[in-house]
Amino acid sequence: MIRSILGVEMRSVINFMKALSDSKKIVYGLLAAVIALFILPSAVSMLSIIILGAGEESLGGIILLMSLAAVLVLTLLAVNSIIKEMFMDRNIQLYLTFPISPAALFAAKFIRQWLINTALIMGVLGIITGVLFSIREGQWLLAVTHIFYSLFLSILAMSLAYGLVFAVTKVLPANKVSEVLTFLGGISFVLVYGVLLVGGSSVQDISGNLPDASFLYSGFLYNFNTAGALAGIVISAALAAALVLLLRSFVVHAFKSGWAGEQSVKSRNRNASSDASSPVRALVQKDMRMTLRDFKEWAVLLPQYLLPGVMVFIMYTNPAAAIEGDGSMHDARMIAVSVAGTVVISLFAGAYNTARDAAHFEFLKIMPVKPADLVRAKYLFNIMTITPVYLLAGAIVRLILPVSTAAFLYSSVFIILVSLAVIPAGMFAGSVQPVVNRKNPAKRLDTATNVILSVIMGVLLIAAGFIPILFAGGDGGLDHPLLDHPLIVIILAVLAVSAGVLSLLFLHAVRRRYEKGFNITYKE
Amino acid sequence: MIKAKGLTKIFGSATAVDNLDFEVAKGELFAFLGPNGSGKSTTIRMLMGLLEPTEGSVEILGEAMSLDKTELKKKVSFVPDTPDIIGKLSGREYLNFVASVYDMGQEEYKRELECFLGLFDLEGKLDTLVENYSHGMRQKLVIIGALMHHPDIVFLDEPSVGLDPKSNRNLKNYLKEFTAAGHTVFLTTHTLSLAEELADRILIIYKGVAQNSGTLEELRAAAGKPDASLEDVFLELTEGDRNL
Repeated sequence: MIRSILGVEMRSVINFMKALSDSKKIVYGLLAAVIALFILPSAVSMLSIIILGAGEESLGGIILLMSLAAVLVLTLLAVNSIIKEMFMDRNIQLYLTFPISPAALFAAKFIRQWLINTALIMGVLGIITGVLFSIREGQWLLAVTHIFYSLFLSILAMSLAYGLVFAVTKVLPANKVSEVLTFLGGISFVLVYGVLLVGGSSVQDISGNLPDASFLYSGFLYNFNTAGALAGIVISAALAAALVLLLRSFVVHAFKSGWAGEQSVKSRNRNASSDASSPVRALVQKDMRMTLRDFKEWAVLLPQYLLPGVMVFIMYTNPAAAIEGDGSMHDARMIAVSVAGTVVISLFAGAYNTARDAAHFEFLKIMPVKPADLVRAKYLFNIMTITPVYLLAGAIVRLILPVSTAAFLYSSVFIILVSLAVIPAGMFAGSVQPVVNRKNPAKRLDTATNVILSVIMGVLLIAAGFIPILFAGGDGGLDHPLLDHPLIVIILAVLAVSAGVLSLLFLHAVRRRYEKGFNITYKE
Repeated sequence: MIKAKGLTKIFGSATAVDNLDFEVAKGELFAFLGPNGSGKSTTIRMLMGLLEPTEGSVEILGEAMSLDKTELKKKVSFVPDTPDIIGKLSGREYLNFVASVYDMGQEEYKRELECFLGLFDLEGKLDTLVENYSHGMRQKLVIIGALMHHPDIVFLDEPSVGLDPKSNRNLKNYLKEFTAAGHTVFLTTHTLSLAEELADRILIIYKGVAQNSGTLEELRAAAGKPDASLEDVFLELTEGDRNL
């Protein structure tokens, strides 16, 4: 039975690959090339430097640190896949209507998810570290012990991911499980990014305070001896088996009793007075309620809302980008992040919020509402949900960093002007080729639009590092009082004019799209 | 063949199904009717073992139903209310999977496939990915998957939605022959004319509670409308004097 299920899963993957458009095949090919030619060699060289250069006394600590980091990152990456496969589509329920036992279904799903999500990555890592330790110690059996250990870590990561998802389903009321799981899946990628950034910037501090973990690994993963290796392999295998069995009993029970916790489905009585209002107001209210009542909406936009935080983090933690300076440098950074961050969120949120209308576009067209009102309402909604959030973020940064009041006020003006100018461009991007994906509602933009927006985001991330230099003075010194610089006034004036012109041009273009109808791509 | 005793399902403080008792005999086409949200789908899910009852029990073919009982499940099949299928498969790949898990022999599978493809006009369309099918074509595919291995019991949840008139008629004729041959059908539908035409017995559920059951004649008598259609009887028994 497990073979039949795995056969179907394999067939689905092959059909998925075959159905890919040529552009996507090229994108995936490029991605594979980047991994093979850049990421993998970088990982090998970094691990070589660490493993071959470390003193024996710190080897245990290094392995422990790398293990924890790998498990943390893989757990977060696996969460999204588990949520998607076990909850978001109806495959599980459909499988169970056939003469398939829950245990067989769990086994097939676990094998597939484990192989794709964690075993592949950890297997490669295990081979790399195994070979490096073998070279270091001249004992080739270390390659075997490292592969065993890596596969154990891959099972541990899968188990933790399952446990996390399982806990959510048991704690939450049934009607919120789907929303919160989507949200969790969305932020898991942000958390991975955060873990990598924090880990990368703090590696020197951490490596100076490594715990002594030689009792765990000596004899097993280095200083090879047969007894230690056998004990390590047996313990790894036993722990992995115990984890899988524990997981099996949890998941099989969940299949039988229903995943969602049988918490009360609390239906709060909302203040549902029946009052009619203007079309624009009603449309804004519709968008606002769709956003506030659905965690999935938060998941879609959260990474973009957090991006300026990432920019601030990079500027203050990355030695390559950080330029030490006085108070005026903080001011310049504040303005740089305000401008770049507002452009990014305005583009993304504007695009995603507009593309959301594709799912009920026919309904909107049937209603006796003018396209101009639809656009006006969407613009208003975007302003209401983007500009205040960024102004608030600016105020928080002002409390944390030594930014002058004047620079804070200037950056607030920038946020308002930039958002007013760029939101219509985002709305236009969202109306070009929106996607309606029933299984993955977060996917709303076609690949081309996504790529363009991502490139803009990448450019701005890099540019944000240079904007402070622009503001800080042309003579290379950092002692220019920011607010005396005439560039600020010029940029403000240009932005003010372009805000008006760009807004009108893009809003007109969006209105035309609402009139003619969106070119919607429907996906399963 | 199907026996539900004191079947109850409570979600939090809401009782979806309340103390349901009924039996369906071999060769019977049993219609299970009720308005939206009355507990029909919850009941079917409990009968299929997909949902554990809060109280009560389900017996299928004399055995307590459970998801673990794969041999018992081989004698039962299910057409859900939405014709979703597993994975990203073509129609043929889906039916191959169904034939495999129900242990159909190669010859039997070929023979049944030919018969059902003709019945539902799906010849020449099986090698397309199901995601490119219309709703009706998916429905036909799921129905074929549920019937081609001749289960003892088939649960049909709104089987006629999306079917074209010819396929609808063919399905009805097939179900008549199917039950005449001793197989059992448990049908839920809002198309009351379908139930009126096919059902041997009818059970009406309202707000999770069984209202009336029996043949159409018995229900007419209970409603006090001896010549009424099933629609009139249904509305009388579920809504009473709140009808327009």
